Order: sequence, then C-alpha cells, then structure tokens
Amino acid sequence: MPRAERAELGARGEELAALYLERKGYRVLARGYRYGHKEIDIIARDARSLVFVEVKSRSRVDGYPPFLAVNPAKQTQILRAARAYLARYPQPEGLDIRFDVVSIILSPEGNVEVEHLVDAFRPS
Amino acid sequence: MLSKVLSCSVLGIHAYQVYVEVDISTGLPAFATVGLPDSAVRESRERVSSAIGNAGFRFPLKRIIINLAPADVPKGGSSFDLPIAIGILTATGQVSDQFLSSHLILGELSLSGAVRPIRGVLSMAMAGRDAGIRGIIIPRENVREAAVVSGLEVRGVAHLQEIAGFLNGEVELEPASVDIGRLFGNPQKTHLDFSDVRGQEHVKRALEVAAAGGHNILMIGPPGSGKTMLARRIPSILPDMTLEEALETTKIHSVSGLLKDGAALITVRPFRSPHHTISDAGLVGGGSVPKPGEVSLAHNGVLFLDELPEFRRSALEVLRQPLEDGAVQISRARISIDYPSRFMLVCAMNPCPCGFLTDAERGCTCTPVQSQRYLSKLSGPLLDRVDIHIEVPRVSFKHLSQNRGGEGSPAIRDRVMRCRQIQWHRFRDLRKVYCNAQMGSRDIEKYCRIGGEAHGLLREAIDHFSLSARAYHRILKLSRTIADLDGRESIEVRDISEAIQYRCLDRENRSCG
Repeated sequence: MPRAERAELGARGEELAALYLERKGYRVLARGYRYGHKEIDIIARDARSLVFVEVKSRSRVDGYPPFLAVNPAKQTQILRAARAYLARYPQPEGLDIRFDVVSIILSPEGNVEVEHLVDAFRPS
Repeated sequence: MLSKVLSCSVLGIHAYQVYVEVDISTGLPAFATVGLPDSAVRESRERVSSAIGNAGFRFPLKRIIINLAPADVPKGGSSFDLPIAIGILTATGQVSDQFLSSHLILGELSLSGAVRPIRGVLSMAMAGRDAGIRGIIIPRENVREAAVVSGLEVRGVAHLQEIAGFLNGEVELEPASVDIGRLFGNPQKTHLDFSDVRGQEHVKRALEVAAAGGHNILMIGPPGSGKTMLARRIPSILPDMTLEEALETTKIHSVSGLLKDGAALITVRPFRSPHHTISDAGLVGGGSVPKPGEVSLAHNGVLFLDELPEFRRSALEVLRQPLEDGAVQISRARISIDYPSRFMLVCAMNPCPCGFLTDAERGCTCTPVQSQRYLSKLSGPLLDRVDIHIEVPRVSFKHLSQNRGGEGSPAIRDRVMRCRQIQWHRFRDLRKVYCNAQMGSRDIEKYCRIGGEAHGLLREAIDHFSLSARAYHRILKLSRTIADLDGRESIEVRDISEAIQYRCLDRENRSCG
C-alpha cells in the first residue's frame, strides 16, 4: 500500500479509536503526544486508570494479530514517551497505569471492526 | 500505600522473623523485590500476580516494591508468596489489616490462588511462639506439624480467598490442635524384629550393649552373614524418643523437606543408610544452599554406613566433627549455621576385598597386600570413635534351619530402656553426657572404678595386645554398660572380659582373622 494511503488509513483509524474509547466511557486527554521521535497515539482516562493506547489500523483481516505488531522495540518507545508524559504531568495518587492496544480494521467498503486489548503489555 | 506483614524464614533449623513490607505507588507498573531474595523469591512475582487475579482480586497496575527485612540476610524459598500477596491486597485496601500485627503468615501460592505446603513450619511456629506472636496462618497441609507447639494459634488455609475472608472478619477459622499424648501413646511400631535373624546371638548381644550405652559399633563379616539385616533392626531395640527429641528430629526433617504432608511429629528414631557414593556435603551437610546432611537427619537415631571401606576417604574424614561435637557447623561468607548431629554410628564391612577372610570354609582369595590396603582405608581417628568392633561369622546351616530366631526385640528393648534409665539418673547433673559412650576421662574415673581382679585382667590385656590409652578408656566404658545391663553397681571381671572381646581390631596386626 502506498505511503500516502497508509498514512490516511492510520489517521482514520486513530479517529475511530478515539471515538470508540469515548463511547466506552473514557476521557481522551491527548492524541499524538510526541516525545522526540516517540509518539503515543492516544492517552485516555477512566475512573481508576490512566491508559496509554497504541492504535493499529488495517484495511483487511490478514490473520496477523494486531498486538504482535507492537513488538518489544515499539513497546520500549511507548514506555519512554509514557515516562516523559508522567514526568511532565504528574498524576493523582491511586491511579492504575495501563497500556492498551486498539486494532481497527477498516475495509474498503467502509466496514469497521474494532478490537480493544486491555493491559496488552507491561514494562518488564 | 504501605503495608507490613509478619513472616518467617529458616536458617539451619531455627526460624527468625522476617518483615514483608509492601509499598505501592503510582507510576509505570513495576514489581521489585529487595532484601537479598533468591530466584524462587523473585519468581513469586508471577505466582502472586496470577493468584491474585484468579482469586477474584484486583492486581494493582502500579509501582510495587517488596522489601524483605532484615535486608542483609539472604532470603530463599517459596514461602513468601502468601505474605507478599496479602501485603499487596492490604495495601490496596482489598483486605483488612486488622490481624497483620498479631499473626505470622506463610505459604506458597499456586497460579490458581490455592495455598501450597512449605518446609520448616515447626521451626517457624516455635520461633513465633517464642517471640510472643498470637497466631500463625499457614498452608493446610502443614497444620498438624505446627499444632504441636503450644501457646500459639495455628490456622491452616487452602486458598487465598480463605485467608482473605478470615482477615476481613467474614469467615471464622478455628485454630487447630493436636493431641500430643495420643501421638506419643501410639508410637509407630516397626515390623522388623531381632528374631527375624537366625543365630548370631553373639552379635545380637553386642548390638544390645551398643544400644544400651549409646556405643558406636563396627561389624566385620563375610557377605550374607546378616550385618545389614541386623543393622536395620537396631531401631527396634532403641528406647522411644522423648518429646524434646521428637521435636528436634521433626524440625530437621521438616527443614529438609522430608516431612510428609499432613504429618504431625516424627515419633520413630530415624534410621539413615546413605549409599557409599555419597558426597561430603551430602553426608555432613552444606552445599551451595545449606541443607542438613545425613548425620543430622540421623540425629537422635542411627546412621548406618554399609561397606565402610567403599566410602570416600574425605567423606569419612568429615565425620569426625559430628562424632566429636554432636553438631555440625557450616560457615558461608555471610552466615554460620549449626545443625545438631548426635547419632549412633553403625558400620559394616567385609574383612577383606573378597570378603571371605574369616570364613573357614570358603577361604580368602586376596593377597596380603590387597587385604592390607583394604583395611588401611579406615582412618585411625574414625576407628578411634567406634567403641565396639565385632566379627560376624557366616550363619551355620543348623541355625538357618531353626524355626525360632531367638529373643524378640521387645524383650531386648526393655533391658535397653532400663539400662538407659540408670544412665539418665547417673548423668542428670552433667550437661553434655546422656549415655555411657559420651563419658569423658574424668567421668570414666568417677563412674568406672574397678576392683583388684578386674584391674589385673585389664592390665594383662593391655600388655598382651599393646592397647592404647584410648582402648583402655573404651573398655572401661563398655564394662560400665555391661554391668548396668546386669543391674550391678560394681564392675567385675566378666564385664571387663566381655568388653575386651569387643575390641577385635585393637590387636596389633589389625585384622580379625
């Protein structure tokens, strides 16, 4: 898939993911938070947790589970950005901190399939 | 959010208190354990998080630090799983901390949240009781072992939910209790009996003397003469253990992981028979993670070394400290551990490499050099600590085909017990002496006085066989036991005469042939 199309798909996917999370009761605090090269797609809050969300968008089901695309290297990147965010914006006591993956499958016909992996990975 | 759980760890056979501190703060999820944990303790992270999740509780996605205080003593084993889990649950407010300051908590967790048995519980219960703790919460399978300790509430749990319920005050848990009187009233009877062995009356008598006075014994004889069979029956003529001895023995076996699940107390004297390929550490204790050795597992019982010359020389050398001191001291860089090891040593060997030196019918096929080398494998110092050396002949057909095997063990044991009682009374004011074999030279002077005729015989024997001073003392000690067995205060010629028979290796050429 050519780059421009891929970028567009990614942006649409993030839109949809943010909408999905809001419908589920989360409050989206930030999108596309950058720390140098590293970026966190969505940062959201619910009653007891602060969640860092990585969004993975696909145009069709290809049998490749989305969370596998968040390999250890990517996880490290997300963790670094998360630490920077926490250093910049200290959080209230008692909050759980979580890393989720939201997978969006956006078919050419316009069908959307969402999969939300809660607590997809933890810092080792 | 901070929480502190009381727990315990075992060093040697004694337990000491460990404080499991749990601190939970907001931050990237982390789980660190400090306080010199070993691999098993570090792995508790996975067991605890699965157990908490599967038991229906919430595992906090926060920064979790576990400190096992005192921080400068190495911690090992899986018994910290449960206190760590409870620490996390109380720090997050999911379980009440009302009982945490008055109870010790210990146990391993399985991934499902079930609580699994651990080692060393008896030592831990005793430490808790001595520290004035009100109660102890342990795995259900370990309850009977801890319940023998009085003055402590012992509760057993099978699942994380169960202990949570109790701590929250939602569930009642009755403290366990064990009837020690009943445990002791029914000592496990061994099915082995002296009457199983045909003939060998002379050897049986020597074993009776050994058991009565606590003397170490070496049996020398051809293969098949019954040495091993007789050795295995020695526990059947030894007196029952006292409660104190039983507690000590149980602690040692518990710490070694040898106590069966659900067992309360060991009431039968241990009989240990290590294979001659055993290592030094296996025999005396030690290893990279210190564990009691066979000598400590035989504490208050019998250590049987079959095929004595086949044991490694180094292994026999390290036997000296336990035989001398009744304890083994193992030192490591940070700590020093003492294991008790007072046991009756029973050894067996062939008289020569082919085994038939003393067999008149089969005859020996070894060269003198082979025989000499074989016998010289036994170090002087080791033999020095064996009071009785006795020849075990091949059993004649006449005896083998008898229907009755002579006296049964119960009768022999009665005599042994009466003899032991005389010794307990005799040594009641001394601290380290429990039986005749343990007498020092001063005690021998005091309690083993002999008259003119006996003295004459003894002097003759010493001159004729060129016996050493050590042999002289041994003979006196044995005579004391033999006289005691006969219920006599004074030692007579026949006692000395019998005692001399038990020193067959003292003759100059050092063989029994």
